[in-house]
Amino acid sequence: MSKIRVLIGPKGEVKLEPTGFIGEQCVEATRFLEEGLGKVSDRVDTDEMYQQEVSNDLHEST
Amino acid sequence: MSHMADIEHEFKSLEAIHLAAERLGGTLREANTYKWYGRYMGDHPLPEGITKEQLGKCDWAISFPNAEYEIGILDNHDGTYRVLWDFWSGGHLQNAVGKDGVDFIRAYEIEQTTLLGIENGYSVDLTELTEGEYAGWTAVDLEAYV
Repeated sequence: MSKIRVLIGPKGEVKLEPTGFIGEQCVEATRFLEEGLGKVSDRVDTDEMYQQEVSNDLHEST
Repeated sequence: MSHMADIEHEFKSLEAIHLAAERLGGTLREANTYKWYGRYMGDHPLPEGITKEQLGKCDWAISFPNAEYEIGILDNHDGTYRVLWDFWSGGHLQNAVGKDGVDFIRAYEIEQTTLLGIENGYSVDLTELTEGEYAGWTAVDLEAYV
């Protein structure tokens, strides 16, 4: 299941933790937050995103 | 004493400002003026782009119980809003919105995240984290409906 955890710190810091998105979906899925919140101090990309990218690279090289 | 300043943040939603005020126990209303010291004493720089004559003028005001002074909201007419306040301790606003307005910024971020999540088709769940690396933070979980 796709989920985005938005962590908001004591001073209004914002971190995004998207899970369940694959590859570029991750960037697209959080775009509305980055645009709407104005300031995102950090973003934690999950392994899933990179797994898909590695998989794509393998397909491309074969 | 007059200590006018911006609450430094990019505010893009009046609705989230409204809900942030309520989250902190305040009330937003349409208003042309907000309460502050009332006279510029020259003891603190004016907020950028604001003249002495513009101090105390606004489009909306936020009042808080037990605070004499109020927050003023200005419409920038570009989809953003400016949030001004007189942070002198005698006005007691700092008790409501935190030092440098950080409690207000935090409340705004929580409300804006919630609004954006709902607008984009997510269910929203808030958790106050008490343990681990993010103790003291708020987690807003946006989950896609299946």
